[in-house]
Amino acid sequence: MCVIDVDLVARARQGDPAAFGELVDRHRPAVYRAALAALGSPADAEDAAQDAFLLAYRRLDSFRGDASFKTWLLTIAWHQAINRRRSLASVWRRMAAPKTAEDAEEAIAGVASSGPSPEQAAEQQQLRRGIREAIRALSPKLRDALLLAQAGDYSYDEIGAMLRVPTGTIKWRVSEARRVIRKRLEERGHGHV
Amino acid sequence: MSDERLNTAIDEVARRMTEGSPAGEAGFRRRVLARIEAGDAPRARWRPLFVAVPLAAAIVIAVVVTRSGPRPSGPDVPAAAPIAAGPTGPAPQRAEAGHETGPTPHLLAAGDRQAVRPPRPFESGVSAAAPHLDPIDPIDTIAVAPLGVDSLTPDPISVEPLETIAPLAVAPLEAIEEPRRNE
Repeated sequence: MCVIDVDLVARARQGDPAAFGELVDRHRPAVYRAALAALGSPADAEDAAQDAFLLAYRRLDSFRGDASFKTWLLTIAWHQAINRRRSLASVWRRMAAPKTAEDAEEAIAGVASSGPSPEQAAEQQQLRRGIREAIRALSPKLRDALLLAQAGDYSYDEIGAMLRVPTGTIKWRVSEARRVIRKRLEERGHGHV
Repeated sequence: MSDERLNTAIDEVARRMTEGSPAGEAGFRRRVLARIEAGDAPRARWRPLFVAVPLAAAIVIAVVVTRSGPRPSGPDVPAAAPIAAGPTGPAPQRAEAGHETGPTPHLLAAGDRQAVRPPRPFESGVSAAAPHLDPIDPIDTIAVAPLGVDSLTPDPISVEPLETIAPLAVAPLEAIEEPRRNE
């Protein structure tokens, strides 16, 4: 797959739009999810993903093949998303964005995966809400590592390359994020449900 | 709940938080390629905000300051209006000299000061609607007579001569021989 990516990159460098379109199709989910992990908003994530592909196209000449094209692209995407996250407009949007859609989705998921009794289903739903709040309350370093690790699209090495930290640091951050969340859940009485 | 089960629940929620795909998945590629062909730059929506917000604030402040600034609102005050306050020393001198200079701003009360203030350059549109004001003539130099040096010459002081003292005659002393002790 990496070899094909490199071929596509070579063709795209020669001005073949279809080759770059193929790269877009191939890596769109990974780029989008990385942006979503950073931004938390689907609309912002889509904008950031588009910007990342645009920037990647402009910088194709700087791709030397030291890492895989996916890693190189994800690094660009992550920085685009982080820049957007730091922006004032994004902060405003996230503050003003209603969380009812997420809550509704969570409620539907809770009903769909409900246990044998309504009480258990309600407890599970409450637990998931508590976890979600605890994840949001994490420091950005811990939250980014946890969300990227659980997105399923990236290896620890790729996450390390995106965040520019050693792989061991990523593993520690994921473990620490879980520990902090467990502690917060226990403090709220969720730990021993 | 054990830590392991809790970790599983955490991972599951984290995975759901990053689930999804771009809206209009089929059009995503088309949108990206269209932006590339159009030479579109990556969007930076926040940058115009950082420029626009201070600029808008500056414009609003400028408009407010301009509109609420001092303007002639009362009855017309002629340029040679009587002085309402302040010291009266220099002004009469000018009047005596025959110059129609009008009162200087620092000699006027606040209301009068507004009335005689010349329009600023950027108020050209406003000054057309303002009451007509006589332009202030340039101030001529004040003729000052040279000081008379003679008038400053002091009267001579008369000094009486001292009496001369008669010289004293001093006679030389005679030498006195001391008696010999060990004779």
